[in-house]
Amino acid sequence: MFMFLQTPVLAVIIPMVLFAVIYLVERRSWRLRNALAVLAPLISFLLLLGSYPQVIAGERVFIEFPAILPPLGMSFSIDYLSLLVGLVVSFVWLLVTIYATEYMVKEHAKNRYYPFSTLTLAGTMGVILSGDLFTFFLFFELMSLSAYVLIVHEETPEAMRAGYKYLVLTIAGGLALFFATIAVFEIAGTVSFAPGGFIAEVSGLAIMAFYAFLIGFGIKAGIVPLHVWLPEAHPVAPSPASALLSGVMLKTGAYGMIRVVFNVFGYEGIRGAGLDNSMLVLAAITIFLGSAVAISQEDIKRRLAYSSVGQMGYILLGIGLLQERALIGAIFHIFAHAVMKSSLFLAAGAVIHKTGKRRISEWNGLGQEMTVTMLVFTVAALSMVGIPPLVGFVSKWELALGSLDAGNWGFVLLLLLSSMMNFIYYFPLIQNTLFGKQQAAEGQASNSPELPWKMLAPMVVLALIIVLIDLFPQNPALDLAKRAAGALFLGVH
Amino acid sequence: MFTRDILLLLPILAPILGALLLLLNPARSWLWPRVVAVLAAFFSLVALVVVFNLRQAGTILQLNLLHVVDYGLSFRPSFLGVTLAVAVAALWFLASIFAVSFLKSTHSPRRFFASFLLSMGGCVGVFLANDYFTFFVFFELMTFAAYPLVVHAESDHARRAGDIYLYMSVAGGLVLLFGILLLVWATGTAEIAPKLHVLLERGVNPYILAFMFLVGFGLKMGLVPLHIWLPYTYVSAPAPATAMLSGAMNKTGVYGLVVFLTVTLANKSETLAPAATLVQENIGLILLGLGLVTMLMGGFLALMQSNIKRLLAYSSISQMGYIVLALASAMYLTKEGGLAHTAAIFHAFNHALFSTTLFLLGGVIYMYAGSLLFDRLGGLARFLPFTAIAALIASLSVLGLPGFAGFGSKTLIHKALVAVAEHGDSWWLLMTEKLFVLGSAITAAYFIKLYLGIFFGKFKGAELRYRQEGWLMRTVLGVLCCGMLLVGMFPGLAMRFFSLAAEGTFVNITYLVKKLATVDFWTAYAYGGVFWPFALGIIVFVIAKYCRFFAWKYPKWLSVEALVFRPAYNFFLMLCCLYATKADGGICDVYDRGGTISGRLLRQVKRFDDLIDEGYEAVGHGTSQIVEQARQLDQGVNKAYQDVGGHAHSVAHGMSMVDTAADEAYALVGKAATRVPEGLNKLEGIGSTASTFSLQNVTIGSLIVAVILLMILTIMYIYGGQVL
Repeated sequence: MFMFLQTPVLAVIIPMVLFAVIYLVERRSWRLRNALAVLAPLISFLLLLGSYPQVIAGERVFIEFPAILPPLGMSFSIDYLSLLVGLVVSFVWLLVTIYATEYMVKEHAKNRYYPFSTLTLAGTMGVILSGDLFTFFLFFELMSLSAYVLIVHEETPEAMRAGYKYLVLTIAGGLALFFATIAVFEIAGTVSFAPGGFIAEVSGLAIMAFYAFLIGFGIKAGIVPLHVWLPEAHPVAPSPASALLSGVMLKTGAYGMIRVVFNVFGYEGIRGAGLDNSMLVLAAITIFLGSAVAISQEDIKRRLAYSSVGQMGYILLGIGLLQERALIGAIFHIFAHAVMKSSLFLAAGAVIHKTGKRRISEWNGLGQEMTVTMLVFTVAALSMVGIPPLVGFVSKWELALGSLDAGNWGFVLLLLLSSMMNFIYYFPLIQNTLFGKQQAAEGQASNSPELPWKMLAPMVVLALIIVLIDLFPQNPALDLAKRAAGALFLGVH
Repeated sequence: MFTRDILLLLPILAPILGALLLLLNPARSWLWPRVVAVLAAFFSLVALVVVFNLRQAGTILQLNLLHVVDYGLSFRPSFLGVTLAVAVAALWFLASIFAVSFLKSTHSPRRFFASFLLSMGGCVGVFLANDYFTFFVFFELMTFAAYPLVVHAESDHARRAGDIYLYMSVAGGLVLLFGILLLVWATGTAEIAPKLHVLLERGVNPYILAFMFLVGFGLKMGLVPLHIWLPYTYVSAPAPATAMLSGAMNKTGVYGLVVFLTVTLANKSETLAPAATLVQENIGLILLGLGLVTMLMGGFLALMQSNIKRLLAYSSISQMGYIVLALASAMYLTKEGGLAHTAAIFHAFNHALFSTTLFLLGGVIYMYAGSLLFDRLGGLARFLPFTAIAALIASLSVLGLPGFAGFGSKTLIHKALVAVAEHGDSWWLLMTEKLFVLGSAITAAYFIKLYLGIFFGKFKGAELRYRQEGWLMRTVLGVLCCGMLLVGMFPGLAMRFFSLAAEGTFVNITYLVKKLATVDFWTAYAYGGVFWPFALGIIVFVIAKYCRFFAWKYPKWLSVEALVFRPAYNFFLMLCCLYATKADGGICDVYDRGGTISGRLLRQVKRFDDLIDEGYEAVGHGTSQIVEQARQLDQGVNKAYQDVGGHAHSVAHGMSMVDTAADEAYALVGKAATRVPEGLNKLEGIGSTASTFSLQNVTIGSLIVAVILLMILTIMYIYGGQVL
C-alpha cells in the first residue's frame, strides 16, 4: 500500500487527482481552479527535487506494480535522465501555467483548459517517470489525447482541421508504438527498461520494432517526414499551450527514443545492426528542412514551430551519433530547447495577447512598447542561434564535438549552417522590433506596465536561466546531462 | 579563495557591470550614462595597467573558471595580449571621453553607452583569454555588443549596414567556431600553445584549419574578399564607435591571427620539422598574396571615395594588408621571421593609434561642418586649426614619415619583405617589395587628397555650426597626437618593446635579438624607404587628379559584394526558402494526397459495402416475398383443408343423418314389426282392420333415407367401379 506513496508515483498521481478536483471545483471558484492548476506542476517539481539527492547519490528509484494489468504490469523509476527531463517539464509547466492564468483571461472555455492542462501534465510526467515500455505507452496515449483538447481550444475551423491532423497522426504513432511494445515483449519477454538494453540479438522482428518506435516517437517529436501536424497544431493552440507543446511535449518523443536506443536495444546492438544510420539521415533532413522552411514563414508562431522541427533534429542527431558527447548535447538540448522555445512562445504570445499581431511584418518598433518582452525574445533567439554564454551554445558545442568524435565533420557543417539559418530567421525580427520605427501613430505612451506580472515574470525567469545558467561554476542541468549520458553509455544506472 | 588572480576579471567585468548598471537603471538623466561609461572604462584601464605591471615584474596571473559555459573559461594574459589590452582600454577611455561631448544630444544614450561598454568588455576579454574558447566567447560578445553602435542612427542606411555587419560577422564567427571545434577535437584542448605537430600527427589538415581561422579573424580585420561589411559599418556608426571598431575591435582579429599563425601553428617536434616548415612557408605564401591584394585594393578603393569616413574605412582595410604582409613574411621566414613578427605587432599598435585619431577627427569635422562629403567641405584649416594640425600628424603617421608613428613599423615591414625576397629568390617575391612601394604611394596619394580636400580650398558647405572644438575633444586628440609623436620619435625603443611578443612563438629568439641590434631607423636608407613612396604618391595624386580618377565610380556589378556575396546569399536563400519550402510543401502534399486517396478508397469500400447491403436487401425482399407467397400458399392449403374438413363434416353429417335415418327406419321397422303381430291379432280379431294399413304410414322420412342410401350406394358403386 505504501508503495503508492513513493515519489515517482505521486508525481504522476497527484496531477491526475487534481484534474478531477479542478473539474469539480471550477464552477464554484475560478481562483481555486487557477491555484490548483498551478499547484499541480509545483507539486511534481518539488517531489522530483526532493529525490534529487537520492538520485545524485547513484541510486535508481524503481517501483513495480506487477499486479496491475498483468502480464506486463506497471512500473515507475527515476534515474538521472528522467530526473532531468522531469524537472524541466514540471518547471516549465509551472511557469507556463502561471502565465496562462493571465493569458487565458481573454479566452473562452477556461473551465476546459485548466483540467486538461493538468491531465496532460499527468500524462507527460507518467511518460517520463515510467519504468517500462508498457507504462510509457499508456501515459503517452493519455498525454497525446488530452493534448488534443488544448490544441483545438480555439474551436476555429483551422484549429479543428489542425486538431484532426494531429489526432490522425498521433493515433497512427500510438499504434506503431503499441506494435513495437508488443513485439519487444514477444522477443524478450519483458518490457522493463534495463541499463544497457535487454534485446540481446537484433532479429528481423526487432528491426521492425525499432522502426515502429522511430515512427511513433518521430511523429511526436516532429521528425521530418512525420512532422506535418506540428506546424499546423502549434500555431492554432493558445500560446501557453503552444509553449507546452513545443517546449515540453515534443521532448517526450526524444526521451522515448533515448530510452529505446539505450535501455531497450542497447547502443551496441543498434550500431551493430546499422540502425543508427536511419536516425542520422532523418536528423540531417530534419535539421536542414526545419531551419530552412522557418525562414519563409510569415506567421510568428508558424516560424517558431518550424524552428522546433529543426531543433528536434539536433536532439535526434545527438542520439543517433551514439557518442557520449553527442548524447550529452542531445540531453542538454532537451533542457535548453525547452527553456528557449517556451520563452519564445511566451514572448510571442504576450505580443499577440496585447496587440493581436501575428504577422512578423507587423512587429516593427514593438520594442518601444514591450521592451522587456522583446528583450526576452532576443535573448532566447540568440541562444537558439548559439551565441556563447547562452544555453543554446553548450548543446551545439557538445553535439559538434560528438559529431567529430563519430568521425563525421559534415554534421558539424550542418549544425553551423542551421545556426546561420536560425540567425537569418530570428534576426530581422529582433532588428525590426528593437531598432525599427513603429508604423502606427505613436504618442500614446502609456504609463501602465507593458504586461501583468503573471505574464512577465515567467518569461523573465526563463530568460535569466538562459543567460545565467552557464555562467555558474556548476551548471546543474549540464551536470545531470553528463551523468545521464555517462550512465546510459556505461550501461549502469 | 580570492587570490590576486581575480584581478584578471576586473578589467573585463568593470565595463560589463557598467553596461548592466546602465541597462537596469531606467533613469533618464543626461549625465548618468556618460559618467558610468567614462568611469567604467577608466577602472578597466587601471586594472589592466596593474596586470601589465605585474606581468612585467614577472608575476603571471592565471584564472581558470572551470565548467563555466561547459568547457570552462581561462584567462592568462600573454605579453602581446596584455599590451594590446592596455592600448585598447586606453583608446576606449579616450573615445568615451570624446563621446561625452560628441554625442551631446543623441537619442537613446543609455543604449549607446551600454553597448559601448559591453563591446569594450568583450574586446578586453579577447586579449586576456588563455584559450580559443574564451577568446571566442568574448569575441562573439564584442561582435553582438557592437551592433547597436552600428545601427545607432536607426536610419535605413544604418540598418542596412547593421544587417551586413551582423550577417557576415555571425557567419565568420561560425566558421571560426568550426575551426576551434576541430582544434579542440584534434588536440583535446583549446589552449593557445604550439599544436602544429599534434595536427600533423593526427592527420588533421592544417590548411583547412588555417582557412577557418583566417576567415574568422580576417573578417573582423576586413581582409579583401571579406571586407564588404566594413565600409558600410564604419560610415554608419557614430565617430567614437567607428574609432573603436577600427582602432580596437579590429585588433582582436589581428591578435587572433597573430596568435594562431605564430603560436598554434608552431611545431615542437623535431621529427616533423621539415613537414611543419613546409606548411608554414606555404601558408606564408598564401598570406603574402592575400596581404598584397588587400593592401592594393583597399588603397585603390580609398582613392575613389568621396566620403571621408568611407575613405578612412578603405584606408583601414589597406593598412590591414600591411599587417598581413608582415605576418606572411614571418610565416615564410619561419625561425628567422622575428623581425617581421615584431613589425606586424608594431604596425597593429600604430594602426590602433592613428585610425582612432583619424576617425575621431572625422567626427569633429562632421560635427562642425555638418557633412562628410568632399563636395561640401574644404578650407577648414582656417576654422579648425587644431583639428588640421592633429589630422596632419595622424596622416603623416599613416604614411610613415620619419618622426611619426608609422615610420618604425613601415620600415620594418619593408625590411621583412626585402628579407623574403632574398630568402625566396623568385621574381614575384621581388615584385612583392615593389608592390609594397606602390601601395605606400597610393596611401600617400589618398591622404593628400583627403587633406587637401578637407582643409584647403574654399569651404563648399553650408554654414559652420560651431566655431571651435570643445576642450574635451581637444584634450583627447592632443593625447593621441602626443602618443603618435612619441612612438615616432623612439621607434627603436618601441620595436624592442614589441619584440618581446615573440616569446612563445616559432620565432628563434636569439636570432631575433641579434637582428634587432642591427636595425637602425635613422639612416639615409630608411629615409629613402619612405621618401620614394611619398614622392611617387604625389605623382599618383597628380595623375589621378588629372585623369579624374577620384570622380570615377566603378560600376556596381564589379564589386565583390555584387560578384560574390549577393549571389551566394541569394543562392542560400533560394536553397532555403524555395527548395526547402517546396520540399516541405511536398511532404505535406503527400500527406494530404494520402488523405485524399485513402478517403477515396474508403468511399469505394463504402460503395462495396452498399452493394453488399443492397444484395442483402434484395435477398431479404425476395425472401419476404417468398414468405408472403408461402403464407398465401399456407392460407390456401389451410382453406383447402378447411374446405375438405367442411366437406368431410357435411359428409359425416350426412352419414350421421343416414345413420339416424337408418336407425329410425330400423326403429320404425321394429315398431312396425311389433305392430305386425298386433295387426295380425287385429286381423285375427277384426278382419277388416287390415285394410287400414296404408303406404302413408311408412313415413316420408324413411323414404328419403332410403333414397339417399340408394344414392350413396350408387355413388360408391360408380366410384368403386371406376377404381376397380
